[in-house]
Amino acid sequence: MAALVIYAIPVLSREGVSMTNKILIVEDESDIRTYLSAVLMDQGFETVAIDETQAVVPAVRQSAPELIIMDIMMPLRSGISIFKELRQQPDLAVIPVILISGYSGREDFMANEFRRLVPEREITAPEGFVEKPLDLEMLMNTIETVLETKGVAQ
Amino acid sequence: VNRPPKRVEKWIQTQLFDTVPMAMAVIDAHFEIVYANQAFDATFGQWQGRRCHDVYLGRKQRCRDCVGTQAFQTRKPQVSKQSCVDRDGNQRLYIKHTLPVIDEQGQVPFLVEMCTDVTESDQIKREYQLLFDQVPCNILIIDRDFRIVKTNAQASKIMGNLVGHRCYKGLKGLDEKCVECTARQTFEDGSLHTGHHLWRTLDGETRHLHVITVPILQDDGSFETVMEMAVDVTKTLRLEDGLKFAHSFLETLITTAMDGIFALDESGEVRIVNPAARKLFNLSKAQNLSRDQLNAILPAEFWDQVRAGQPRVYFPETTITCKDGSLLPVRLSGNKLNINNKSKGMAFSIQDLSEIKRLEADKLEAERLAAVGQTVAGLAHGIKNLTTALEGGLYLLNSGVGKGDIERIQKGMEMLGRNIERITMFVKAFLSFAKGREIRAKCNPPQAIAKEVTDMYVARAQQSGISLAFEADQKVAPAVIDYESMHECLTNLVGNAIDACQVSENGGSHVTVRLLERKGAVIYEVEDDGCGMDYELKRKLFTTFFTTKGLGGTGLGLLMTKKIVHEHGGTIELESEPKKGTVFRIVLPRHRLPQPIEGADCQ
Repeated sequence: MAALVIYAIPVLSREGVSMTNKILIVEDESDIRTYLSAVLMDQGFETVAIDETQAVVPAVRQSAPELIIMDIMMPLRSGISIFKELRQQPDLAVIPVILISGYSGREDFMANEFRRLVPEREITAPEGFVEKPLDLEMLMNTIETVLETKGVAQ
Repeated sequence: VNRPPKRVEKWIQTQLFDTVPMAMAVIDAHFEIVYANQAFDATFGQWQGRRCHDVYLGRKQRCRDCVGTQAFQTRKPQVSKQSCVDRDGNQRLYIKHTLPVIDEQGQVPFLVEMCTDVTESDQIKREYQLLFDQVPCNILIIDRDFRIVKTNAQASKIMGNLVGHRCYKGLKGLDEKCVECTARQTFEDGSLHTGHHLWRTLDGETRHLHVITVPILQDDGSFETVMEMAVDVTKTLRLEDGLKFAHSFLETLITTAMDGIFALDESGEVRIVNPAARKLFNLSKAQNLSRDQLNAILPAEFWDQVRAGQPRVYFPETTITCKDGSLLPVRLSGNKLNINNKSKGMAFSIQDLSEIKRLEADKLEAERLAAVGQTVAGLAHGIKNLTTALEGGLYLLNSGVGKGDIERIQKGMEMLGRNIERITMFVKAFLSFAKGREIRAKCNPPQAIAKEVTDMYVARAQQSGISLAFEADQKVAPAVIDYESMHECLTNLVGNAIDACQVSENGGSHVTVRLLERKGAVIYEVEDDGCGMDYELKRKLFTTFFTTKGLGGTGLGLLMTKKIVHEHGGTIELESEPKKGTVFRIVLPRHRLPQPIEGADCQ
């Protein structure tokens, strides 16, 4: 059963990664916020979850997360619009972002869709993309890769 | 000396004086009339014992220019023209011959004066001269050498003084006679000739003249001169040219127009039918179109207005009856033709709407397909979100069981239940949207629909402290509308408006539903002073499965509304400002409304 598979994902080894250990979740659906928070807490992260109506930049500054996971299709403000705003803040642009959406597949999004939505070349692509419904293993792998890359860079 | 026979000599001596028709008088050195004949009596009346200036003019003094004095002094006959007053008090013109009577001593004791009344002939002469000079026509008199002998004032005004010049030189600047010379023809055969000449005038312009030459016959039938009368037709020709251009322009326009054009004269007969109209009416090139035929083709409502004498008729959408009895959708418009306030009939244009109708139907279809496309994308997104939420519920449930965390299990169960319910709602709404039951439009009073929706919401609005009002234009005629569908649209809009007031931070508390009729369109407006929408939100409103209501909405209401409005041939517009409020407007142009279902005509 799929449910068991989901439950059975291993707790990731978290060597060499850490510092604040905090992930900011931006998602309009409260059930999905609850879900993501539970999953990430189970993996040993600290989480802060907000919806798109809140001012994201101050929230990011306040919580100083290691990573941001953000939905794209949100009714009152799109994740793309928030993403652009974040990348335009020099101090926040370094925080890696993983976008999540049912909007398109990962390959398609990174190869085409992103540049269609954000033609401005100075804005770099997000560090990761995970399609909804969420494959938790894929999500955790992406988080691991992104954080490792960040660690190396620093 | 030449002497007459005896008997005649006696008659001359005794009777001639009294018999001559001119007035004759004998005047002495004191200018007193001492003797006069019967004609003098008849002309000037009583003369005995009076002086000539008194008799002729009623003057007491001798005239300044006295001709008699001259005759006395010079002893030569004088001829003068003088105006005198006759016995009836009329001023008349006389030629006077004043003859000195010279006696044997060479003295002039008397004058004999003869007066000939020339009033009439003088008048005629003057009139003739006036006519000759002022007639709106150039007159030349030309002799056999083609020299101009005389011109009238009109001709000298535009040509200068031409007397003595050869006509071809003076009029045209040529050195030789013209080939088409009308004067030569008249000199040859003595008859009237006409022609078209070009003259070069004083101011260097070229004028077109219509010329007539006639001989000026003498009593014996011979003639040495011809009169050339030339009428300036330059302006006429220019006008004719203008007219010709206007005519050919209009004719081209009418012939090549894509729209049908036809015209009726004041008696109602068909005068013009252009090729496009012929095509519409199914007539061959040569075929005439009678009044009765046209009667049968064009709709009764059209003829009603035409016969009522309307200055303008306009039917944005009506039908004509083709030969085979089928109906063709057309646009018909017409205007009365008035010239100087007199009716000269009517001109009409007729436009085939079948192609436009077909394109409109295609467009409607394309819009519907696009809506479905957006719906499918939106649906996929919605389902993915729901699936994610279900997975979330399962995760909480399973991990809760694993950890023995009852609270987590509880949360997972709730999440599952909530999202399963949501899926049910979603699928139901989607099914009804996708099936999109066929529009069944009938003639309905637009007021009734809005009234019913308003009544339905009044209680809910009141509970939330919101006032809900319905305002309607006085006379909005029934329209072909699917009652159920339009009811659904208004239900959606009014529901949204109440929600917008409830979530507004600015305390919005008014929702107004309006019904208007503007420019041939039925218009519903739903206005609220609730939270309003920003640009981003407005942009998304109709384009995705979009809801701001979280679990409370499916994101289908406005899509459904848009679809129904489109199926009615209408449009939906919105004006909104954050924190000020929103107006949704459904505009239903009457001529685009759907066909009523069978047996449900709308009059």
